[in-house]
Amino acid sequence: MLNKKNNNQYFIIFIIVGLFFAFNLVAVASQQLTADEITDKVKENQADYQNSKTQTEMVLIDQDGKEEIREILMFKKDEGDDKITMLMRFLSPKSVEGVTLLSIENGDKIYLYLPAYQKPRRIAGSSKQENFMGTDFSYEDLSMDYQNDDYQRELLKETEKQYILKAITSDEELSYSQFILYVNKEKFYVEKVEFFALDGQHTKTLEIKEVNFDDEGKITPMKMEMNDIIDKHQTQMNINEIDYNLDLSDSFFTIRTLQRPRL
Amino acid sequence: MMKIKYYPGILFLLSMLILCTLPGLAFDTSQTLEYEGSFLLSQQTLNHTLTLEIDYFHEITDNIFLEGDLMIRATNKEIGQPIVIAPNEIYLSGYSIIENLDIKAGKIINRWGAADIFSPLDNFNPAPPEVSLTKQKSKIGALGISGTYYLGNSTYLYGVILPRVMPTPYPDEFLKSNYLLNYVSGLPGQEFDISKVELNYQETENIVWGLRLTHSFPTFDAGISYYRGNYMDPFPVNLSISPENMMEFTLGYPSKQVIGLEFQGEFPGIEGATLRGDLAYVIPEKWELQGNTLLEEPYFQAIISADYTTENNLYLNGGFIYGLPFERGNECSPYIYLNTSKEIENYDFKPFYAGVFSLKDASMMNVIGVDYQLTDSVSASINYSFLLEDEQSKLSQFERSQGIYLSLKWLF
Repeated sequence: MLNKKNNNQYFIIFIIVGLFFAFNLVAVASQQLTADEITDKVKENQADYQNSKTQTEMVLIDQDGKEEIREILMFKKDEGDDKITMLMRFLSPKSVEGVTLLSIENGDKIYLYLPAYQKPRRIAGSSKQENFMGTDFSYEDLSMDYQNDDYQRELLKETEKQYILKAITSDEELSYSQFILYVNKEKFYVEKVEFFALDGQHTKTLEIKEVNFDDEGKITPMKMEMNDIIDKHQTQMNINEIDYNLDLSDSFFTIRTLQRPRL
Repeated sequence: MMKIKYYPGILFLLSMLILCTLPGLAFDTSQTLEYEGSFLLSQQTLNHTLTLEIDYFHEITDNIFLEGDLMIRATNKEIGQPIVIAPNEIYLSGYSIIENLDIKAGKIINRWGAADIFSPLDNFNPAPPEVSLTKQKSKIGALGISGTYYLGNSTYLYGVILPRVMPTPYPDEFLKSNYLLNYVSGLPGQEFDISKVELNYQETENIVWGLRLTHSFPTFDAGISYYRGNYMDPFPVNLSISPENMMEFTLGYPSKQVIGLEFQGEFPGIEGATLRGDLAYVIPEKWELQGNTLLEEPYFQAIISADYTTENNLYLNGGFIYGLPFERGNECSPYIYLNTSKEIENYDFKPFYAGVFSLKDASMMNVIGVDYQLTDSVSASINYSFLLEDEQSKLSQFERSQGIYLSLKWLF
């Protein structure tokens, strides 16, 4: 009898211990997010808007530390499916005042209005890989294409504060072969992006230096730095003012807006 | 006479100054002060031009603006007006006052065509009478109305009406010496000097108008256009010689129709470059001078170019031209051109080269120079222009412009 009783006790202890380990394993497994889940959380945490207007200061710094400051007005529209349409006008300095760029759906169509030409100029779609107006951002970088679903992602490493993801593509029509994304573990936003050219060379690094959290905890990058590693050049973008969901007409993000004297 | 000539400009300038200072009627302005100096090799002359350009706009309502630019210019160039004080543009612009329609009315500039230079479709406004390879030509405003009707977000219909032709402002003295050079050699035994030449102008009564339809395709934009107007350069209608050896030219502006096709964007096989092209089929009015036909048969003009920037910031813009702006009818001939500049890392210098090469007679016009950005708002440019040619070559029009050029520009 005693033996049978003892056997039952061992069985119960075994079940409890087994369940304990099982629950722990499930808990550990549930904490281990996949790269796609992390990316989804990053997207969920981004400020949710139909359109936005930002007033931004752009600082261009060359390898000798010489600075050039530009002021820009930027309108963005979320087209869905990771597509962003953007209208950007330079307000200063005088040498670029009035220069206006329209990038439709992540640069699929790009128009540039230079006041001296007095007409919009279409730029080849492949030019979206070129740097825009002397900055270290290409037309494509401004669209934050590193979040594009055309890239396959994998979780490279998890540190105390960051998830480190690799986004990779074999599609040669895209500008970069891969990105390394450093995602803040607590708030789920991208803190740093390393850009790798099609030949595999690390060419640029984007760092988000300051973010803004709205009432719902949604995140907007307010200060960022793009470093061109090859040219040893840096562009800082500092957002001074931001407004969301403005009452803009459907035709605002078309070439008819490019020549308007005031946006 | 001189004073009366400049009164309207001075009056306009004063009015603008008063308007700009009125509370509640403030204009947004930006100014450019530019000095241009040149030493012309063929004439051994030193020219100076000082220009103050004031761009302005005033927001009357959210969708209606008063826009324009005022030009104050003084020059000693043979081919320019000595003093200009006038609004180059002044117009009311209305955006979406009528749904899908934007309009401009006043003294306006309309730029048609996709090409950056020498577009045969850009016919509404004259340019100052100089040919430049290195920069987009400034245009002179003309009275008229233009409208753009938006058929969706990708298709646009443009219309322009000008009540009269705005001709290229050649100084009379320049035309007189030019006609003497071209026509007197054919008159044996006659001796003329420029003071014995008279010019009369034949009035043109046509309304100038045009329509243009463009569409934005996924990788390129394309458009078709129709223009009905006049040549902006004068053509001699009649030449007579009085018993006192006074030579009298009557000049006119022949009418023409231009049917155009334009495109710009990226095309299969040339990925990475932006292709721009303007093709024009020009139907001129028949024009004769003393039995010689100057214009009769329709002809083609075209420019096709490609823009490309290399990885090390070398900008290349090259292409094919059939018919330069000063060529008409059978005179039109093929050329290739190249415009290139290089951004140099961490330096404010930008060397550039521009050249046109005639495929017909191998003559070649070259401009080599350097731009320098002194500060954010001050820039300088110096270049040397020279012609490689045989006498009477296709590019001999550029002969007068051989020389050294300097410009200093301050934006404020």
